[in-house]
This record gives sequence, structure tokens and C-alpha cells, in this order.
Amino acid sequence: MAMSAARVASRRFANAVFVSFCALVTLLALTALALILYSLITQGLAGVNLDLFTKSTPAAGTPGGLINAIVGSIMMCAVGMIIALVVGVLAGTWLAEYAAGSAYGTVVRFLNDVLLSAPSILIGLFVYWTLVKYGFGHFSGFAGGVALALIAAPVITRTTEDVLKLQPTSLRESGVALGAPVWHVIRTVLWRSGSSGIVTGALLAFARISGETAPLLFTSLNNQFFSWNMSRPMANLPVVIFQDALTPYPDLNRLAWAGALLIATAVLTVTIIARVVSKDQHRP
Amino acid sequence: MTSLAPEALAQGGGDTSIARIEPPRVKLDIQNLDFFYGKTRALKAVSMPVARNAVTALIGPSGCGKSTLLRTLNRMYGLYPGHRATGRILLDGDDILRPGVDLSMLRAKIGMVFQKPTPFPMSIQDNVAFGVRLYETLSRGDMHDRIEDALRRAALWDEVKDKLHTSGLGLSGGQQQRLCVARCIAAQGRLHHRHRHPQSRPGGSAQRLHRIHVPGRTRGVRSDRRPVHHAGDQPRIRLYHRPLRLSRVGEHDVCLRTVKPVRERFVTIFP
Repeated sequence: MAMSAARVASRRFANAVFVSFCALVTLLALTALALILYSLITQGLAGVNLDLFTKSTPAAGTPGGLINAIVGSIMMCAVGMIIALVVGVLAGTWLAEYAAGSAYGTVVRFLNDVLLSAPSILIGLFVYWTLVKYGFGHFSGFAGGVALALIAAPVITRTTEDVLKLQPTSLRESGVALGAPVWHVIRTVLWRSGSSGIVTGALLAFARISGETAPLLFTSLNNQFFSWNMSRPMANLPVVIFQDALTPYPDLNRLAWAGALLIATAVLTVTIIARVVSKDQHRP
Repeated sequence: MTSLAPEALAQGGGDTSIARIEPPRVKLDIQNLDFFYGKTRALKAVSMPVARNAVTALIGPSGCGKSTLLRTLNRMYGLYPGHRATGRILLDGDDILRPGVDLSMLRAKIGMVFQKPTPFPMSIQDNVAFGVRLYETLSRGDMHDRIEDALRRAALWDEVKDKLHTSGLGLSGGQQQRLCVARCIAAQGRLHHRHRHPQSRPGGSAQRLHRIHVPGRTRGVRSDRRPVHHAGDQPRIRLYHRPLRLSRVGEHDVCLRTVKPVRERFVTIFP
């Protein structure tokens, strides 16, 4: 049953069309990425100097830097990630390992998916209403951290659940078959074999919250001055970028670009560090 | 032992003496075991004794319930809602199906190695020590001895003794499987059942597996292939069962000779 020459030729043609289309679309996406990086680096580098890391955000026309926003962003992201990692990993584990087939699990999973796709401004509004308006009574770094946690947790929950569900049943069972309680197998075997996936989820979540502006506008607001105090309003990079980029002053615009470059660099650095640290020495 | 599938006995002529194990030699006594996956009944009234310190094999076509039977022996099915077993399984006279049995202790006693190797994502020595650490606190030296002993019995020691701290996942498939055997031995399981006869393992592992001697252990082997045996490791009992039902208990060769339907189906499915 040899195929006719015409048929072979038509298949070759269809294949060529498909492959070139894929290549073209990939090129398009990469071009957009390259343009973003190009503008970010060229515009951002112009604003990078020592002042950036030593001085707080200035009023227009005076020299200044971003140290208050850098510290604020780091602290709020750290609080957000710590809360989100604890909640997300445990919730994802529960959904994957204990909630199979239960109605409660199905509801939780559905709500988590809803939260995952909720606009971040809604999260900000919620935290504003609960913590800022009625809780602390004022804007604060903690409220900002909680808002970021609410955005990050569903991402981590979802990826943790997916990763654990990918682990073979026999791995789970062979731990149990040695006489280990299920929670012990989860902790010592499943989390470890799924660690690279869980780290990926955490990185995705971190990348997402590091640039979030909307929820911080409602919660931590901003602070012109350097502050370690998380129970007071706190400066942060996204809000500074948002405010400075909209001003008519070129030096503030430069600062905004430099801040954007800092966020991108930070995400890249954290990603690389996390990949190296969590590199699974148990994968051949 | 009339509960042992009378129609098989009626088929005839074979030596079923092995089916009649004297009570002191019975390690496990399965009595009238039914198993349900939800509403589906996967085992029907299976009764069989398993002899102490002997190799027992379960042979039968795909889907006939070999794995299901094994998974009741350490109550692995308990992980899944809707799976249940009725009847009795006496381990040294003690019913392991009754409520209130400590499942972790039961599973620590009855080891299980899976068809596919399942090394844990940790070093070779941590793999072997996993089950030990659950129930014992050993000194460094004692732990090392236990690990070496288990790996020797699993015929893996010589291949891994210089790289005990490297990942268990870096081993070949056959070595991984022996690592899993060592893990069971180290946990001091008194009875091992192994999914799938090792004959199908590539790279000579099968032959080495055959040389594993675990004195004082009862071993079970499950297979859906016709096993080939090496002298000196002839299993004492072969069990054949048709889908859902135990059809024959007896010596391997005798069963193959006398239970024609099983043999024919066997040969047809696994040529």
C-alpha cells in the first residue's frame, strides 16, 4: 500500500505551512517581548545610580531614589509570599490528597479557581474594606501584604494540587506500604518529588504580585519617607511607578522606569536563585 | 479444604497436596474473601492458605483479581473510599480485616513491592532507611549495618556500595526495583509480595532477583506471565484463578499440566 506521490507532496506542503505558521507566531511573541525588554533596559538604565538605593522618593525637582519603595516592596512581598506559601501548599495538598471526590473539596477547588481569576482590584477593595476601613482603621504595610497573599495563594494552591496529582499512585502507596502514615508520605516523599513544580507555582505567584499596583493603592498606599514600620502606610515600587510615570517631570519619569527595571531584575534574580537552590539532585 | 474451588479439584487428577498445608505451616489464611470496588465485586469467595517461609505465586490473566487479592493483604484498599473487603484473612491466626487493626503496623509487617519501581526522591541509603526510621531509632553504625544487610539480600550491595548517598532515581530500572525490595527487607517485613514476576525485567536483574534469599520470610509473587524458574528457587505453590475466582491451588507444574483452560487462556493471552 504505497501512498501516491501526490498525496505525499500534499502532506509535505501542509506540514511546511503549519511549521512556518508556528515559527512566525513564535517570532511575533518574541518580538513583543524583546521590544518590552529593550524599552525597559534603555529607559530604566538611565535612572539607575547610587541615589536610587540610598535616597527616598523625592518631590519633583529634587534629587532622590527609591530605597523606601524597594524596602516596602520587599517586605510586603515577603509577608504576602509567606502567608500564601503556607496557605497555598497546605490547601493544595488537602485538595490533592484528602479531598478526592468530596463535595466540600469540589466547592473549595471551584472557589479557588474563581479567586485565581478575580481581578486584583477586587482583592484590593476587599482588603481595604475589611482591614483598612474596619480593621486597622488606616492604610498599612500589613494590609498590603495580606492583599498580595490573597492574590498569590490561589496560584500556589492550584499548582500544588496539580503537581501532587501528577505523582504516581504507586509512589504514594509504596510509602504507605512501608507502614508510614499518609501525612508522613506526603511530607517526606510527595512534596519532595513535586518540589520543582511547587517552586514553579511559587515563582509564578511571586512574579505576579511583585508588579501588582491596584491592590496596594487601597491598602498600603504610599509613603514619602523611609519606614520599616509595617503597621503604617508603606512605599512600594508599583505605586511609585504608577504615580511618577504620570507626572510631567522627566526626573520622576526616569525614576519610574528605573523602578520597573528593578522589579523585572528582582523577579529574574529570584527565579534563578530558586531554580538553583531547588534543583532536584534526585532527578538524573 | 472444600472451600478451595471444588470445580477445579473435580477437573482432576492433579496433586493438590500443597493446598493442604498443615496448620502450623500456615502463615496467612484467607477465608471466604470478597472484595468490592464500590458495587463491582472483584473477588468472589476466595479461600486459600499461604504457607510460611515459602514462595507463593498468583498467576492468571489480566483483570482476574491478582492485584486486588494482594492489596487486601496489607489493606492498601483502605486508602480509597468505596473499596471494601469481607471475609477473614488470618495472619498468624489474627484477623487483619477486623476493624481496629493498626494499619501502619500491619503494613510495616507485610511489605509490598510494585510492578513499576518506585524509588523515593532521596538517596539510596535514605530510601532503604525510610521504613526503618518509622519504627526504630538506630545509631549511625546500626543503621549502616541494616542498610548494608538489606542491600546485600536484595543483591544490590555490590553495585551501590560506593554511592549510597547518591539519588535512588539515578539507578537503572532493574536496580531501582531491587532498591525497593531492599527497602522492604530493611523495614523487616515478614512477608513480601511482589507485583509481576521479575522475569520481564531487562538487564539481568531478573536473574539476580531470583537469588534473593530471605530466610524466615514468606514471599508472594504475582505474575501474569508464565514464569521460568531457576533451579533452587522453585516456588512451592502456584495459584491459578480464573477471573474473580480461585480455580486451582497446587504445585506449579502440576497446575500447568492439569488445569487446561487456565493454561490455554494463559498461552493465548501471553504468547
